[in-house]
Amino acid sequence: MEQLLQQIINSLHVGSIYALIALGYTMVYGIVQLINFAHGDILMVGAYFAFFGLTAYRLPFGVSLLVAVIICALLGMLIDKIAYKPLRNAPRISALITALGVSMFLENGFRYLFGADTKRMPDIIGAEKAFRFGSVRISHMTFITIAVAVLFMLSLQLIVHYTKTGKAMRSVSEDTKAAQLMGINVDRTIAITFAIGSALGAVGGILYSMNYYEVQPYMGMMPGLKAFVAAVLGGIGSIPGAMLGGFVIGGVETITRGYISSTWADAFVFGILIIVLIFKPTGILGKNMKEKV
Amino acid sequence: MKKFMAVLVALMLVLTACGDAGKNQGTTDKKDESTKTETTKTETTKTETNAKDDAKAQTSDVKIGMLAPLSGPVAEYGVASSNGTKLAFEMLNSKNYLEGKNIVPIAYDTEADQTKAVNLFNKLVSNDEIVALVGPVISSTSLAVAPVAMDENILMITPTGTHLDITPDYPNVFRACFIDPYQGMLAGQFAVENLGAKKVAVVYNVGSDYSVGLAKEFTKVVEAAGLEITNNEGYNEEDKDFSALAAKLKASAPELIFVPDYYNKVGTIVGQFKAAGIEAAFLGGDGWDGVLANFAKEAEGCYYLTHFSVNDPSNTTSEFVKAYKEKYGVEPSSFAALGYDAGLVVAEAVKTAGSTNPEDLVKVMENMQFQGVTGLLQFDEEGNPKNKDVTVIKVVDGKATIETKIKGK
Repeated sequence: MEQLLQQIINSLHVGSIYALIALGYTMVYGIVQLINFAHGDILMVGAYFAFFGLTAYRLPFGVSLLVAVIICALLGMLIDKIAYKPLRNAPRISALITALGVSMFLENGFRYLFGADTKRMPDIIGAEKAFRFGSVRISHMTFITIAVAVLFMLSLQLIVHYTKTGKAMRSVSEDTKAAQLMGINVDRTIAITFAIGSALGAVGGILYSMNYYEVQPYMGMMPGLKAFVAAVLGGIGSIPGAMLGGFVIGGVETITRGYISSTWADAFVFGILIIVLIFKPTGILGKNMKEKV
Repeated sequence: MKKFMAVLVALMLVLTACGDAGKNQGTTDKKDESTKTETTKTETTKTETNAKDDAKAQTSDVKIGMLAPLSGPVAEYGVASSNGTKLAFEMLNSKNYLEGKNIVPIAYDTEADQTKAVNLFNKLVSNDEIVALVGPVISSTSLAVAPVAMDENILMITPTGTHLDITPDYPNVFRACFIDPYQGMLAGQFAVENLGAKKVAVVYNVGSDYSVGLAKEFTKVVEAAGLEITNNEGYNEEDKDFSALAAKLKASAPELIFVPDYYNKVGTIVGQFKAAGIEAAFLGGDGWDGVLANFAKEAEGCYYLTHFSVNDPSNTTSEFVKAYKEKYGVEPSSFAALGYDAGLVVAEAVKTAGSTNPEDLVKVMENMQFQGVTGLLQFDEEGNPKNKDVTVIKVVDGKATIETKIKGK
């Protein structure tokens, strides 16, 4: 029983990181129908800048996080402007290939600049510190991870539903042409979407690197892929879907590791993707939209 | 929509494949870069050696071939090992060890490539007319060169190739390091005899031959001694999150956890286990060497087995450590120590045999008893070091201190 409680806490912990990253995939997909494969690498960039902030410049944690997040938001906009915007009217597959190219560029660029060796994220929160309830532990790190993730997810919901920008984002995602006719600056809205998505990805990446200590150029690959699965599972394009998907994936992974075997965890996660695609291609909360021809 | 999703899945699979390729390349370049300076240093020595060699091939020289990956994915290992061997020859020459004959090392860079290793070996034999070969350093190239070395009838000793199959089929091939099953066995014995644990868990990387090999042998020994194995858990190479595994292990409360993997992975695992409140002791193999760079705090109190430690008080070690530090400016690793021992043992064979005839050399090697810095070197009929001592390190105050030395069995 105690183990089960502990595993549920672990699930929430892992799931909240996936959920944060999945939001970036789902938002960008919702608005430009592009799977931004470079998103996983944005979280790597976020982790790097937070790492430099904490070690080289000795900034406080909050400041490092903020700086890294802002840099990533700008980077997201820059990538959109340089790589995706020129392809807005090209076939989808071109943009997808470009996304892969951007991903490789970021990975190899960072490897070239900072070397491929694994850097260690400093343990500022104290891995040992924990709230104890009997033998169940909620480490401060877990608490902060979940709290930060939930905070950012709630603020995203507020932005999307209660601000003008959010309204613009929703209408562009519903029908780009109509939104344009209504006087919405589509390009600006898309840029903002990239900025917000990348910022959330950066937060996810920083939390990830703090939990698992490492900062290296390829660290975004696996969490990026799993978050993508989470986004598809929840219904790609749907923001609550991505959050739900993140927690489901985190739960499946943790429970598999805890009660079956670690070696099966990834197989189960990707197996779920296949099953979802077969039986409900739109995902749990996805809307069944008609193909726009 | 459905069709699009199908395309997506296909793409994702492609991406996974790309990702792996990219990663391998990454590690390659990383080691490349980190050892660039050292590699350059070695290359200079190499050209010097060659120039000296070409100037006049003195009949009184004993030419020893060396093959090591001085660049490429495992350059760090290759450079350390070949530096060790060169240092050994230099020290022996300065002592006039072979009475008037100079040992001349001829080193080539295999780049960790099997084809290159075999071609370079042929070059060593036909152009440079070497007497014996120290190398190659890693298992894959050693496996490729060993049969050719037998055909050419040249004594070969690999300092660090741990793969089981390198030596058994080739009577003229030896090695200076202990093999993986031996290490796993001794780790098991240490757990049983010294740590006194009753409940043991094994956590290993299913994607690594090294990790699987150690875990298997360890489990065998520990089970035979009647200890309870509470968990036998595999994990994937890519895994980063061990909190679920930690909760699982915590529930079964082992007193000792055996984690045979390489240093950065081990740091992540032990760190997360300790953070989850597991209070077991931790034990690992020689892959832990290097854990202190990033994970000194996490590794505190942990035990691991290794070939060699710079903190060993015995005299030979100190002399070697001093000379190595002086010459290369860094503390010697296990690889450097094994390279050094391999060099010494070859020179000893030449001296004892009193000739450079391959048959004589192999015969001498078979009866060799030589005290090296990594322990007593004597070879069994398969060319593996027999009863080699293993050093057990305990991390105390962030430093590798010698817990005990296990006498070889």
